[in-house]
Amino acid sequence: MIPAEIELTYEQFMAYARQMFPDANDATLEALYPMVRDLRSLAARVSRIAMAGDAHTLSETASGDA
Amino acid sequence: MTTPLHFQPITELRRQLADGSLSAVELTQHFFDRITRLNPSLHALITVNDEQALAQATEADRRLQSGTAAPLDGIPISVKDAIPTRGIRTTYNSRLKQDWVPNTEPLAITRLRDAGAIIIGKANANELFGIPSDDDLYPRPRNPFNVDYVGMGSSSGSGTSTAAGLCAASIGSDSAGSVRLPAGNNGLYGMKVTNGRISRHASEPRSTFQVLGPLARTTADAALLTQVMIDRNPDDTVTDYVSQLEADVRGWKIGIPSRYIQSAPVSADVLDAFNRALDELTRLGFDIVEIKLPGLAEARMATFVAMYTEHHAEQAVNIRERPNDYGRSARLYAMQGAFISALDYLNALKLGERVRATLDATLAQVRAIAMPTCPFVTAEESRRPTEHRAGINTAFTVAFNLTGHPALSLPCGFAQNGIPVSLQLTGRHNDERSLFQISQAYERVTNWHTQHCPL
Repeated sequence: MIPAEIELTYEQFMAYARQMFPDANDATLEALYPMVRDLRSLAARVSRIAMAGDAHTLSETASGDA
Repeated sequence: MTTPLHFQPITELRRQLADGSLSAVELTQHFFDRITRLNPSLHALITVNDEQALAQATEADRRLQSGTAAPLDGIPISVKDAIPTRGIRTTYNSRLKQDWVPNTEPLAITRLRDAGAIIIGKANANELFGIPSDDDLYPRPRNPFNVDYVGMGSSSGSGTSTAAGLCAASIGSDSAGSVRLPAGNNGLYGMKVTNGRISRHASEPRSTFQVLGPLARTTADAALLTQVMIDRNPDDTVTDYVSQLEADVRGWKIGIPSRYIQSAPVSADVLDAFNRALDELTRLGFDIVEIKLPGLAEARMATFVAMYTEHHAEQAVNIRERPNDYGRSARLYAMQGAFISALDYLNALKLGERVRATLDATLAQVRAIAMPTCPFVTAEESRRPTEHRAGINTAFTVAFNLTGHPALSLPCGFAQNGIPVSLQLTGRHNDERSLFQISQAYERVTNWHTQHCPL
């Protein structure tokens, strides 16, 4: 899987998902897409923070915003 | 007024079993009578282990009469149905495993059995640790304090079965708060020990974050169960929690990360109970100090990234070959981690190490950190789409599954709808003892733990 910092388009997602989960129907994959998009967005944020090291100031709020 | 047998703590039941005023068979049968009456509506237990449990109770009575009883002899407990139990059906609330009878189990469960505990049943849990949906194998447990609401956390059946008096205590598993949240939601004490302190050999799934832990009626009960389950040497006095519960806690510093707490959408009932608990801790002589606690949100995000990735790896074969044997939510939950790269997974763990170092530095200045256990009173509030997508229901719990710090939830009040709310204490790595001591000091001057459900 490509790192989350690189966008996975809907078309790429569907092509990959159909190979990965050949028995899953389209309705399942349609429902999965927004979850994957949100999770990859989260993962990209986590990776950016991790790779920045001490250059990133950790948040004191529940949202993770400054 | 005498506390009914089914609501008495283990320490009290042990005393009666030891002096012969109660037999293990009587006690076990009493719980079975409650299960027969209440479980059909509460859905607390998926499997009732009646035949084996009564045979074990008979054996326990023999040992009690001969003076060779072990610490938990004759005490009926439930075990989350997502923890394998040798010889007892373990379903994970999943069609994939609905007939599975394991021939092995985690060492901690064996230790409980060796100490005489009787596994009376397997407690309901979210399907495969996922998100519950309407097509799960078994319906969600109800909260016995107000049955209009469902139980909170994936160990919800552990919370319901103990709070409803269907067993004396329960063992759950905690990957994001799933021992602490249902304990808090049911007026119980729930301990997540330091990661790695309770052996998970033969557990499924093989998760970096998951810790087995007790849900119990009192601090002493939680301490006893933890002491039995934990990895320890025979001459280890640090983990002799039971004999060291009472401590002179005056002057101990407890840190409050107010900015973090205030930034979360905490319900008014929870905040009110939390503030009153802090007042009580101040009266007990604790030094309540303001602290900064950066990184909890980042740790929460990192945990979900890594946890979903691990969950997919665990489910990788079944989710490809038998996707239709999953409930709707569990299916999506098991699939999404397929779309995370190794780089992102390892970065999530790396971020956890950084937050752990930050927390360690803070905990060097205070004995423990106090926060509410959950921002919300009910599981229904937790499941509102916006909050749930962001994992806000675990805002106070999940970070410590990544950083590994021990955390204990303890009852500190009730919401207006009658459901208990709770306080969470987080401590230094391997210092579960201090958390039990603080909890014991608070329990001695409060009566939240003696207010039982109306069933």
